[in-house]
Amino acid sequence: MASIGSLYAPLGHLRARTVNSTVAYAGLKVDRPVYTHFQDNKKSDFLGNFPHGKIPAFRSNSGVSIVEGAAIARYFAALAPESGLLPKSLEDQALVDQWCHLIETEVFDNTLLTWFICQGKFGPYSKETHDIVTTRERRAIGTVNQHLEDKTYLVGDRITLADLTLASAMNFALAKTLDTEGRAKYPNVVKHFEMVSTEPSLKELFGKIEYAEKAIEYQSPN
Amino acid sequence: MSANLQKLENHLATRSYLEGYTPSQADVHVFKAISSAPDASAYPHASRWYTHIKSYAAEHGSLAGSSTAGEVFTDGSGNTPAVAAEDDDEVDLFGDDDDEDAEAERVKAERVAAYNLKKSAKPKTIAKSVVTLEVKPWDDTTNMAGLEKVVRSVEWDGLVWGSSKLVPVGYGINKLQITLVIEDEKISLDELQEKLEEFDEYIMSTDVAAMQKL
Repeated sequence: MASIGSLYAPLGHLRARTVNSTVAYAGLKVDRPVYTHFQDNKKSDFLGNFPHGKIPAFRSNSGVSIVEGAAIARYFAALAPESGLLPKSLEDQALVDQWCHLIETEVFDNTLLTWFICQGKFGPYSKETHDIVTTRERRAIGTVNQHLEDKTYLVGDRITLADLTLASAMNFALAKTLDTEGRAKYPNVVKHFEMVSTEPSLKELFGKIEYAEKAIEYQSPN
Repeated sequence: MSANLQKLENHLATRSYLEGYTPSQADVHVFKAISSAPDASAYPHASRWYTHIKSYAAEHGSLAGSSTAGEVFTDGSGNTPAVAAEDDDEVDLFGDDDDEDAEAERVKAERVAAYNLKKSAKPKTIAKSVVTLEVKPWDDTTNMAGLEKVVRSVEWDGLVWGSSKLVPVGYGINKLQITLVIEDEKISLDELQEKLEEFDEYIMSTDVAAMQKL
């Protein structure tokens, strides 16, 4: 299979996990130009193709530039219809999009916010802000957990892009914010993660599963 | 052949499939032993699993693996030793041939008992922290040797004083920087600091400069 274009999505990068899982699961071939984050995305030739200067970014062989991981992943899923990552019916596609969007904005973004807040990147630490973000993150995880009470995969009975998005977000949350107690509250999400992250084509990308014993906390600088 | 639904439910509470992370002959084996979908209110996880395995109906013959891991749920032995069922997470779910079932269950129960014994005998780890404490004197006339002596005079259970040194803070004044190891459950740093600040002929204030879990 010929390469479909150039993908800027470092394999270990958190925001790139969904798009990289899609490449792996769908068995697509992409070129991965040498890329150093925070350097190459500030250079003029990168900005010429991708003015926003962020990754994941993709440039197809025909010269179309696409940014935003979710958009690229959805395009990749559609390129490999036999993978089933994007279901056939429009209704099911809408459900996949629904979960992808909810998980990225309500789960992943709040985990990332927590991570930043605890590192003091958003100005003086505020316990209230930290708590609000944690509540939002957990509310979304709770919603997904409830949905998985009687389902093995998020949409239909086979793996879809929504499952890759959830596992990618949980990979981060399980390592940072969902401590032992948190995991006990959302067992369906944890078993979903274990199932997806050990899928033969995804195992290498997800690597050794890391579970936080204690959620990240703010460390006051001394 | 019937299936032990409660056992199945417990197993599936934390697992997507009976064995590993993909559907296998183990799932098909138990699926076929169940005549209709388990009641979702009584067995939510088994019910979720049943619906999912049903979706593979066309592939039931071609799924990978063997039925072995499923047989433990269909051996009809509702009289599995209670301890084995509770400790479900810890035991290998190797089913054996039917005529060896009793023997296998006995060996399994023995192993679980031995494991529990081992687990309970394991000493509980004690959470400790290493702390760097800074003790500031009133001024340059404070006797620092005396100051160190009163600090070290605090002898509490779960508290071990370590090395110390004097660090200049300017104008000829030194502060005492001392390390200590505390057992988190026994010692409260706030109480310790309060206690130290009672020696007010020597000590003006104390600060926790660093703290790290051991």
